[in-house]
Amino acid sequence: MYSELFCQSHFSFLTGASSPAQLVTTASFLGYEAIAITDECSVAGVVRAYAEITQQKLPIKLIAGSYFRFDDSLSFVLLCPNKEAYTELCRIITNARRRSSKGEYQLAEWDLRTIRHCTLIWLPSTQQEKDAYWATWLTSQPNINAYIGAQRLLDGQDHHRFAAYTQLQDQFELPVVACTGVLMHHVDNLPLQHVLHATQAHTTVSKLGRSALSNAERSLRTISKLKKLFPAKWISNALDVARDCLFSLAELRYQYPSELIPEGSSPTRYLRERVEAGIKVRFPNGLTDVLRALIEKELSLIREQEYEYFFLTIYDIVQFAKARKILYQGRGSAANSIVCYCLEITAVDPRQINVLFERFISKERNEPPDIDVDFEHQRREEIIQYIYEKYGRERTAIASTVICYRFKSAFKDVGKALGFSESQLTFVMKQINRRDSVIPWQSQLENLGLDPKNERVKLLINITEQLLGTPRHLSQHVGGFVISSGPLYELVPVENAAMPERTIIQWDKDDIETLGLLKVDVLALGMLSAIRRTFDLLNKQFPIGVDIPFITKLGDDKQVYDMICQADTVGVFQIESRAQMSMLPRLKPRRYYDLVVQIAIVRPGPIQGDMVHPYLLRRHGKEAITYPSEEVKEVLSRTMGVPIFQEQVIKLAMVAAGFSGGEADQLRRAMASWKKDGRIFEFKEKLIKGMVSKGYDTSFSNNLFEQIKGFAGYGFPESHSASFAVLAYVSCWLKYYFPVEFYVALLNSWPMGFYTPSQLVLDAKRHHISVHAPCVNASNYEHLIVEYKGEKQIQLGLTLVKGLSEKSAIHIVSQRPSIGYSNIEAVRQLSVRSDELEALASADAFRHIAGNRYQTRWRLMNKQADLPLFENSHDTDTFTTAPTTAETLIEDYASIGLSVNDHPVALLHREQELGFITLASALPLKAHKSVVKVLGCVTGRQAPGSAAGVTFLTLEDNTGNMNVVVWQATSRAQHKTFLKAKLMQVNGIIECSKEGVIHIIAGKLIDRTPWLEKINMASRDFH
Amino acid sequence: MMLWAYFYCYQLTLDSYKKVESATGSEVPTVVYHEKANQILQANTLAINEGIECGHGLAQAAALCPQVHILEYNRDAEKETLLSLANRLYPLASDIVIDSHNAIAIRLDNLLQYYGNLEALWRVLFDEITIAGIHFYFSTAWGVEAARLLAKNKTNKCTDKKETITLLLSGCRLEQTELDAKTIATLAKVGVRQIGQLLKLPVHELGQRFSNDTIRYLTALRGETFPQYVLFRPSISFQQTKTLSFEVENTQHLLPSIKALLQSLEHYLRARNLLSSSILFQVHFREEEPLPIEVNGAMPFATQKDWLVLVELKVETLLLPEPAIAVSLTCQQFEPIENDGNDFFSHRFTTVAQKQLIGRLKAKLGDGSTLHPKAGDSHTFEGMTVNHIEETSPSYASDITPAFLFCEPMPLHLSTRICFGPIRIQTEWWSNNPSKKDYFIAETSHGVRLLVFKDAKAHWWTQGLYS
Repeated sequence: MYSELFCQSHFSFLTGASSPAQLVTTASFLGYEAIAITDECSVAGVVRAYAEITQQKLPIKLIAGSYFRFDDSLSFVLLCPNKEAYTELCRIITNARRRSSKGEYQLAEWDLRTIRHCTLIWLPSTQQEKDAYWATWLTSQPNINAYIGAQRLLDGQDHHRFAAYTQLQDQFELPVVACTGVLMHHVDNLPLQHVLHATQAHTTVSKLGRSALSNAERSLRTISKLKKLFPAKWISNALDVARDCLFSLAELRYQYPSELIPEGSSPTRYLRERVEAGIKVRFPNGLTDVLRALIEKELSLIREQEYEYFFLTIYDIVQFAKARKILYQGRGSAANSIVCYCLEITAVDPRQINVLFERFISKERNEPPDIDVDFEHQRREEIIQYIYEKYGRERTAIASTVICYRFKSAFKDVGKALGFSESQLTFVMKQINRRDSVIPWQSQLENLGLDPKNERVKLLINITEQLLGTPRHLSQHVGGFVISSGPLYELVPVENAAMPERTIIQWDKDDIETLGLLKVDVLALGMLSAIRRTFDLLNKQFPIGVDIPFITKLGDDKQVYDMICQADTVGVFQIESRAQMSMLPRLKPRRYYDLVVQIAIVRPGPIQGDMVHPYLLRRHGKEAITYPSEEVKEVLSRTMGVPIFQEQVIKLAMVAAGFSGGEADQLRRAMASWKKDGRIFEFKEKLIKGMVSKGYDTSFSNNLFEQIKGFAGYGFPESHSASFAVLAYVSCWLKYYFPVEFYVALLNSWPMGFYTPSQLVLDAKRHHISVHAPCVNASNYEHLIVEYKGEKQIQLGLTLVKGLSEKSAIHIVSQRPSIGYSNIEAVRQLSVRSDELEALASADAFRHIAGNRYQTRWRLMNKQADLPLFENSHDTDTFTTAPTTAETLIEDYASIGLSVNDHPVALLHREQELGFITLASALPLKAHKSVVKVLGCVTGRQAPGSAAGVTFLTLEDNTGNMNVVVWQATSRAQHKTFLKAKLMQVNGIIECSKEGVIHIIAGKLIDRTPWLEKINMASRDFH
Repeated sequence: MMLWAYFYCYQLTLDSYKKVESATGSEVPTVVYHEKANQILQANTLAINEGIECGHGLAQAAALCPQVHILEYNRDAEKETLLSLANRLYPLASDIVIDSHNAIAIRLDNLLQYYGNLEALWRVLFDEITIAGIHFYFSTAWGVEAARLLAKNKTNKCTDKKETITLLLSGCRLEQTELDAKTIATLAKVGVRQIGQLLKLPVHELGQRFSNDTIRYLTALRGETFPQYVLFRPSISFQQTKTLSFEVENTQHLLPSIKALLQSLEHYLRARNLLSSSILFQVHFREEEPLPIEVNGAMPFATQKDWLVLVELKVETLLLPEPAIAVSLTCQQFEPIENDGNDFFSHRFTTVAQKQLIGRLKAKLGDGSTLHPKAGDSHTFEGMTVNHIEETSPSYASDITPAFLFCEPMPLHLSTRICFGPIRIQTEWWSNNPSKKDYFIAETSHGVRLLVFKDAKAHWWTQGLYS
């Protein structure tokens, strides 16, 4: 038998060349009794190894540990024989990591002195003097249980090492254990290890020289070989050390903070108390028996799984948000439970949808429930600070996200390590079309000057493929908080994130799930800011308390849905993208649940599964709604027999293909990790065979599998869609009834959503809303509603002025005399920085007091005006140059990102005869299939993976947006124009669907950018 | 009025490349790419026809023309080309200013008396640059600043008329001036984009708003002040050409001219108390490119006699592609004579003899003929010692390196006893010669220690000997 005590996985970034799963699987196959995963100052790989052992039921013991380098002369491994040792290890890692910037660590001698419980495997450096020093030091520490870790690497230096081990053993009476210092599970991974090493050293593999591994001995070796390499005593010592290590990650018990529960109460009692209080708010007319039964069922499930703390933690956070008037919305199936509705975590009335609450909380699956809470993006920091304040920084940290090698980074790093020139790699990477489903990237290389038969290119391809998915570094999760009852570093090491004052734990969300820890997702959502701001504006005018429940209680509004059906949805939530807007007139949503479907249907899952057309046909009564069986009917009845949501697909696998609950759960996990490991294909045969055997059509089965693949990475469950649909409807309602307030709130919440302020302002103007440019005498910092002759208009704020700080803008506004500033010197005297004054001049914000932009700037440029002697001597108006209309337009875009007065296309129409061009607003008047010529700024080029080479261009003119469909052949034939044009004329065929969706199928693409140059606009990108 | 001509050589890299390219075959779309700026700086006509423009990034250029040939931009190389142009022009005009890596200015007014008129002078200069194969924009003006601006504005006009120059200047855009980007941007912000607009503004108002440097530049542009310029002087290296009195086919007939050149070099070096260890002959032909003969001494020499020994050995093996018409000698590397150090009893003469031998071997057999051992940065035994042209002191990181390593491993036939090992070498998988061997130190019955290895096919080989 053998136990490996020193083994680094690829979580020792750019060093280890195998995954923890590969390591434990191989070690188990080789018959090792135990293996320690000892990544460098990290336990990130241990959980993955634990998950693999548990999942595959491998007969091998896992030891948690970590490898450290103190300095050039001291390196060692710490192993965890018990829970106390694990806690100690986490503390040491945390201290070492917290001392350094992201990704690095620094041990202090103090760390070593505090070792009490861990077993230390010392790796002598074979520098005689230094080894003697450290041996003396280690033996003088009464609490350190130290061993000498002996490595046999067949590199020509073993005789020196063995001499050193023996001498140290004899002199200091330190026992010796055999270890390898594994970096790869198999010798075949040696090239990958060399490439990683070269990447770390910023060199090529051929230049690594003697610093590289000279052979593949740092892989998992057979026990028979190890027995030949090491004395039996050293091997048996290693076994003894491993056998003393009794700690398992399963022991980790996670305690939620107890301060949530009032003294004298219990979690169960307190949760029920809160739910009952919520019932009175949410159901003022009392509960039906069905709802009461549902609540009881949910509460009993929560009690059985002991998730009360989790619900109460989120309840506590949302209560804080509520008190601070921060808008929030919970989502996830657990979030959309009736308990969460009563706890005010979500606004989705569970009566409106059918969510499988049990899927996320069930007795069979010991996994944490899923509740994500979105907060206003501009105020999420308040929530984060609340969490930090309430639980303390020691007990709170954000989960990490493991950033893995993707194609580009892998290709580039491998290429560089193999000595390809960087410019060649950049060129090839830019040319490779990863979405080309016909020609794989490996074959595309040939056309780019890299012969796939060449040995070096073969290596490039093979090692790139090997490197894909290998972790590169840890990053910060978008908002997953882990909160514990005691110091978090006793549970998991904490390290610094890139962002100052943020700390992350070394585990990502999968690891957290594996260990059954609970995380609270505190996410940011721009639309919530916009909605809250709209409510604030409305509530100032109408004291009726408009909020989300107020709008949802009004029921489905015909006029709002009319607007939605016309795809007039720029700026609203979710249904504003080009693809969503094309679908709206076809799906014609008329009620809340239609929106739930609408949001979910324009996703890779249903599209790749070819479920969109059947759904539309059935929805419009052109195809009978039938079900192959009663079980299927139960699953699909809400979506007219067509699977749309992720839950439905999984449920179908159970009822139609005979998957067990466990298998269905594995399928769900495989969907989530398809991109990483491709495990989903393991289910293909079973799914299709199962369905066919139960009498389902083969093509339907295949489509369902395609849909499952489509969901991978973009999983979109009904519960999420339901939460989003509420916000989508609320935003539409606000846009329809209070457009001025809505646009102002939206602009004040930017950056968010799909559209730029320029596009939002254009849309507002299309809705006949007047918009005024920023002005020092009329604007506040944020955008405002102003009334002029009883008409509400938008006054853009100084926030749009690029280069003007918030502080200065607020200062200018607060110091403004009631009659406004009378001249530019009055603003200058406020000690506003000169570059900020220039920014205001660029934005033409002085137009009412200092003439045009050029005149304003000429005044500001006068340095003598700053001098006390010249303070009151104003310039004479000798400078009379004025910008042209074109220059004004350019400056508008450059300084505030939009123009309230003009549009490049409108300007061109004035400058030259463009009668042959059809404006966006005139497209509906054109006949279907007629030839049309349109002109517009190219605001978007989208090539969705699901669209088989088609690119969707969005052209914008002064009257609206136009959707242009460019077939692959068209774009290839005219690629110069297709890639370069900022202003493009498209001659094409108009396609008008019956529902009013207009597309232009591109024929000829003409680059009209030179027209802009003619009017002096060449250098300006308008978007 | 002073009169300066300015030549802005906008595609020196392309021009240099074009000479090589035209010798090799058909022209392809070619661009000069500046990696740091990610910008195309120069593009030939074929590339421009494909839609590539200067200022594009590499990706855009590659997207427009995937077959585009890319040359790397090298500012120093451009400067070299420009200096050789200046050397070429120096016999024609004395006051030359190297204005940047790709532009030169030549003062014309003081040369007019030698050439008669501006047109004649201009023709001579123009032809010389054109023959050199350099593309350029040019202009003349009353000062370097004004001429530079006009040339960069692609004016391409040679005139000494003040009104014409003023008119041309007025139409120039500020981006082409030497005004710093900030000043240009500031002026653009008030709508001033052309020199004419700027010169119309009252000076006192400009003074209130702009730095002294800006005002100084503007006055120089107007020809009101004249900044000092460092004039170009040809390099101080030795360069002499001897035209042969008849066309030489037999290399031995070159020797008299070579002797004469070496004699001149000896004079040159003695006058300056210098030595040299490297000289370059070039044999010139009517059609062919000049044939270089680089002669390196193992130690620095000055005398004709010392050099001639080496040169004669070189010339012996020389093959002329066609009859030679001239021989030139260039010497650019000099060393001072050092008299201290070598005392009478040192091993000086042995060292000198060794160096002389190496020098003669190099002259006879070529520069790469003598190699010195050096420690290699490799795990492989073959790579542990490398032979290097330059002499370095060998140092070995490993104590298992054998004293002698065979060029080719030999099959192991002797009966041996393994006394050390294995050393497993598994590397160089990226090369054509991947290594996967187990090495051992083995001892024969006679006590000879060998470096042996077992290959992947379990065959045994001997690779070296221990002393």
